[in-house]
Amino acid sequence: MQITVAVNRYRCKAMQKCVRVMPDAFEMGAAGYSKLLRDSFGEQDLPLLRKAVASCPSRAISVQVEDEDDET
Amino acid sequence: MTRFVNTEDEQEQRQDDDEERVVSVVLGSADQFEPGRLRIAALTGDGIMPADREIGVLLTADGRWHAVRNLCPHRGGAVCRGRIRGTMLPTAPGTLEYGLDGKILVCPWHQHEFDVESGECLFIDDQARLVKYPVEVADGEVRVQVTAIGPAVGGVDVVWLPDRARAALVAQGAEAAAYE
Repeated sequence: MQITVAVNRYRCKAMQKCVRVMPDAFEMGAAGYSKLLRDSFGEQDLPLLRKAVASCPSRAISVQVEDEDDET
Repeated sequence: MTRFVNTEDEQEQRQDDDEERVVSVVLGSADQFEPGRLRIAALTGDGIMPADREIGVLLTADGRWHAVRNLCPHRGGAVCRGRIRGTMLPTAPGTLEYGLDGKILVCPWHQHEFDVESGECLFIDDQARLVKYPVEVADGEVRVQVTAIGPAVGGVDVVWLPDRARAALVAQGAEAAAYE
């Protein structure tokens, strides 16, 4: 399973909810926008990633999950 | 199988891939600012990020300048429309002490108090804090540095929004233009 996480700076309003949900994965950058601390995420991170997505009031976080048996 | 959670549209993703750059915006002459009055500047143009388009600028009584994003990290309220005041300091039981006068910004939505020096919230013990911008006075002009994305096109327009002090004066019948 490959998990790709992205933060859209254009949408981010720095409410810092993601930082509170996953402080090991998100941080506030110097410009005042959320940034990713990690490049890779595992299946065990999915529950908190979903929580981070749901908690973001500006819907700035996207998570793409690709299963390994994906043929497309 | 591919599953998506909150996938952004293509246009926004392209904008998100653009390089960040720092823009120094001239807000106006320093003598236009009164100590203790928080003014709100609306910035438009030149790729200014959406969240950076409203900035509160405060000159405190001790001569320090502060610029904060007009967004409360608690629930997203327009925090700069709140009052500037002090707060009750932590003291020993049975004693009351008021302090930090002129350095506390109170969000009008839920009355959360923020220290304008650090941006920290005094109410909730977490990482929620105001976003602050570097601000400086050079040659009598107040300049603030904000983040923009994409290529530089034209300049940045600054419009001053009605703030709490101005609204109160207008309500008293004063000539609003005199306080711009």
